[in-house]
Amino acid sequence: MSTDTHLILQALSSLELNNEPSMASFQSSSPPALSDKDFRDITDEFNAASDKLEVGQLVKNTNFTLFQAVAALEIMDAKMDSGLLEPEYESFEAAKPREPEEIIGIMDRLLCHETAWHLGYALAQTLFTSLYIDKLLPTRPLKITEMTFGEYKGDDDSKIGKELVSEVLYPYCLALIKCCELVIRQIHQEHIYEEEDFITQTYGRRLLDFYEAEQISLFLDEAIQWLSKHEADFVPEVYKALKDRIWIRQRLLLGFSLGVNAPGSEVTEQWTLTQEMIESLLKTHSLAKPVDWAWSTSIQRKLASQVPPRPIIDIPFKDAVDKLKSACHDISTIPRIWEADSPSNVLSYFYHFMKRTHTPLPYVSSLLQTAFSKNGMILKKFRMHELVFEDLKDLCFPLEALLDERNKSAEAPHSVAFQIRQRMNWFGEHAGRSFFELFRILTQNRARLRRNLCHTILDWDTLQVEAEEVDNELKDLTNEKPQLSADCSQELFSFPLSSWVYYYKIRQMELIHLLGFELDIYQPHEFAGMYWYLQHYLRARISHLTRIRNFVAPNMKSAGQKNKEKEKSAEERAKRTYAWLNYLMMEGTVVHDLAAASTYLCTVMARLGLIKKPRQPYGTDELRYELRMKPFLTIGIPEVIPFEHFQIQVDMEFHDNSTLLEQARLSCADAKKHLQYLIKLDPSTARAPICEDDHKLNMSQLLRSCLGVGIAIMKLVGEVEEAGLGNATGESSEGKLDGVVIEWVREGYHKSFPVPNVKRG
Amino acid sequence: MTIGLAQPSSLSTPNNSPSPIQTVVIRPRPLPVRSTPTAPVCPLNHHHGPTLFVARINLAMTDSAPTSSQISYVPYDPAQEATQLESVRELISSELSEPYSIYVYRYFLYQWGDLCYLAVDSGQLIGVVISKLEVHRGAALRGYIAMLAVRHQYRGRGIATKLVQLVIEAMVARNADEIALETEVTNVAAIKLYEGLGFLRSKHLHRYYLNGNSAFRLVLYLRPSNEGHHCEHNQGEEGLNSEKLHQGCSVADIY
Repeated sequence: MSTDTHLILQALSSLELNNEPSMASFQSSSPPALSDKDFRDITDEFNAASDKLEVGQLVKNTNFTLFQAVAALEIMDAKMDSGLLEPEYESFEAAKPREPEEIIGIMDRLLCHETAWHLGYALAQTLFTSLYIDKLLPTRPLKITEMTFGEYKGDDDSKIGKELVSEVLYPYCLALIKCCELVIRQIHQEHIYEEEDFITQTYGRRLLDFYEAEQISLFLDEAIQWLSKHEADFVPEVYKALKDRIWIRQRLLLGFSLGVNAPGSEVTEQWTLTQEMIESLLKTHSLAKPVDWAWSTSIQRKLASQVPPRPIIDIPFKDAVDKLKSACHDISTIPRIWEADSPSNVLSYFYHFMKRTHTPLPYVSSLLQTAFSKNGMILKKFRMHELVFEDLKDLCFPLEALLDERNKSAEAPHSVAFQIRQRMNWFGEHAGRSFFELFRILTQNRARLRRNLCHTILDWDTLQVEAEEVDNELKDLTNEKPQLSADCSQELFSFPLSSWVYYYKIRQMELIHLLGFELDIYQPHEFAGMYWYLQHYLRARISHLTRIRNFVAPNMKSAGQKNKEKEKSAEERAKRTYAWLNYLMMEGTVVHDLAAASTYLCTVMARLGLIKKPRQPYGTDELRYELRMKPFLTIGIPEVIPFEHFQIQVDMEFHDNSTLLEQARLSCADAKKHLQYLIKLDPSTARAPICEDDHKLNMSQLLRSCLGVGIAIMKLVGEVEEAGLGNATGESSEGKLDGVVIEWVREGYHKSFPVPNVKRG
Repeated sequence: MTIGLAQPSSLSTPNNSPSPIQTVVIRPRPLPVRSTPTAPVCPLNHHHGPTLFVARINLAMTDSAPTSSQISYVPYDPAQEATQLESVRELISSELSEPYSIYVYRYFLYQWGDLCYLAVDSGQLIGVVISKLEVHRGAALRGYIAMLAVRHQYRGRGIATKLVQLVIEAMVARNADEIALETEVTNVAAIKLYEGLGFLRSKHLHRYYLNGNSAFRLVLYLRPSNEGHHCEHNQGEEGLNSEKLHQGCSVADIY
């Protein structure tokens, strides 16, 4: 390091560029008192140091990341430095009398901003750009009486107009601020991705955290009283519009204050009522008078933030109302998970939750997480391992000895009961963690879910290996009698713990693929291959469930040996398990057949040039296969097949087009037939009684995709026949179908099964 | 055309068929692999390899459509930082709502100036690609395309594709295992460009950009993992995104 460099570094370190500003400076109420002697002009030193640098030379701490470089702002550049914004807020008179229609306009735009914030935009781009809200935001705790709109010094002397601001808009704003605080508090408790899903940053402003919601609610009571007293001063619709808005704000305040922390019926009632009331806002929104002067991005000048000036985010009022309504509805259904009679029912609810068309708000996801697990209790009644055991009994029907209540009291370390309990405890704890995580990641946004699943399947894979060892020991401890394999060549044991783990691992691997389609990660030229893999995993699911099912009867018999009563109960439980396993196999078969039809169809379409592969001069197909299958490469079973095999399986080079299309047609017809049967089943058979609507929608979208794919197959059969390409195999049909194009349609279909619209073009 | 780290703007459709008069003046040089500087202050980046013709870039930009098209592709020349950087910055920031600070440009150009290429027409800068190459998570040597921009009037002529190809070839020459980048999900033209070259979408990144838009991560493997070391192997999520919980990352998760 040269002497010059040393000097530069010294000079820079004396500028304390590396020191983080202390939090105290943000939190203190006013700038710390500094006298002139605290400052030293370093311009000359700085210039002297920088003169030693060549143009373009970089002074860089080794730990300085690109992320930090990108986050850096250039002072005095208007695009980056919010300090250059005109301080419009300084001339704003919040206490100035306003017309009632303006008050409605202000409230409605605030609601839009509140919703935009819920959707993931920063407060600095939404609510905090309101000059009314700005007036009320202290940087230190204040008495509420100190939080005011200030004094009005102008000459507008409308008493009603003045009081509308102070008696109606003012409490509305206070309540809104409190709502934000309650939302942030809730979100901080749970696993929500900051920035990606939601921004809790308040730029050092305190959001009435020092007052209870009930206290703020009293202000709204007073607002309603004031309105009632002055009813005669307003046109009836305007009066109703104002009163509705105060009421709804009060409802929201109580709602956010309650969250899901109450008995189920109370939560449902609270949010259902709110949902109904919000609807009324649309009817009176036409009265609202726009009030553009009450918003300004110049607020960002004052906010302690490291981002450049950003535009105000406005969403249409109708969208805001719809979003809030959906949110209220979503929350009102959450308590159902407490009533569910099996973990599989709850899992179905979670499985569908984030798939909802309107995408639940991050706040709602956080409430679902709270409702699922709070203070170490799952669904208000289980410990995590108990949830696993419940589900294990339901899915695998293990030998009774494994979960015998009497094991709990066994104290002699050498006793079988003690040994079993020890192993089951180990499993409960480890599987519990993974199971818990599965529920939690299902509440994340879909892109995040897929990425998380790519990680969690590795944990499940490891867990499976470990559980197999435990199973092995358990089979000896319980003296399990083996079953013979179908060809009588092998003795098989039930291995319930690893079976349970394997089932969930495969489901997650399926889901990664389904999400690949849903999130548009897979491109049409990859569809054939990726649908093939989806089939691969579904086949693994089905054969694994068949194995599990083979052990239900013997385990039931051994459970029912002792007496009639036990026998009856074991039979009942076994019946339930059978029904569940059958359903899962059937559902797997439907998706498998639809995926098979899609594979055949896409392979033929690729041959005929209807699906075009990009040129791809760099890399190789084999490398792309490695990249695509990366999440699965280290998974033990089902394993990733070698690239050459994969290509053969997908290209089906030596089969002619007619054969493949006939296979596609048959698979599609099977999928449709079985699906129509599944749709008629009682939702409780599908373990979806608490998410019936979601389940039905999923089924109907699957059916639509089946029908759509079926039509595409038929159309293509016609085109291929007409062009005389029926007998052509892979190479000989290359790009030969002229005048036909396809267009992928997603709208209305299942998100993982877009449909090709085959047409002449 | 601009494809930035954050806030990329929309793209016109690049035409993959090269313009007939498009000529490449300079081929990427085989460069010695340079290790990431570790000293807090890096030495000046002296030009590696043989001295090559480097076009002088005229700072005056015109908005008129190109008349003559003798487009040449040249590597960035650190010796001309004072003039070239300004035009690079102007070109990229004209497409972005929020410009990067000068530090971001220097971050790349000072450390990986030899992975930056310029497209020049009659002395004027009309396109640029900026990238880096370093060991990612202690495993793969990963190239990263940070910014790609082509002046509006010149779009649809395969210039962006050519720039990306130059960078890919330079990275191949330096034994890169893989190349990655992010682009906005709505930026169809950019995605097409990269997919046309062999990239695959590996991830969907929800609300990746500050404007609330999502991104795709696009990845191109150049060597199999038993030779190189494709790093992520499920375990590590890139960069900051995995650590994003309540940490308030602001711009983009670049790593």
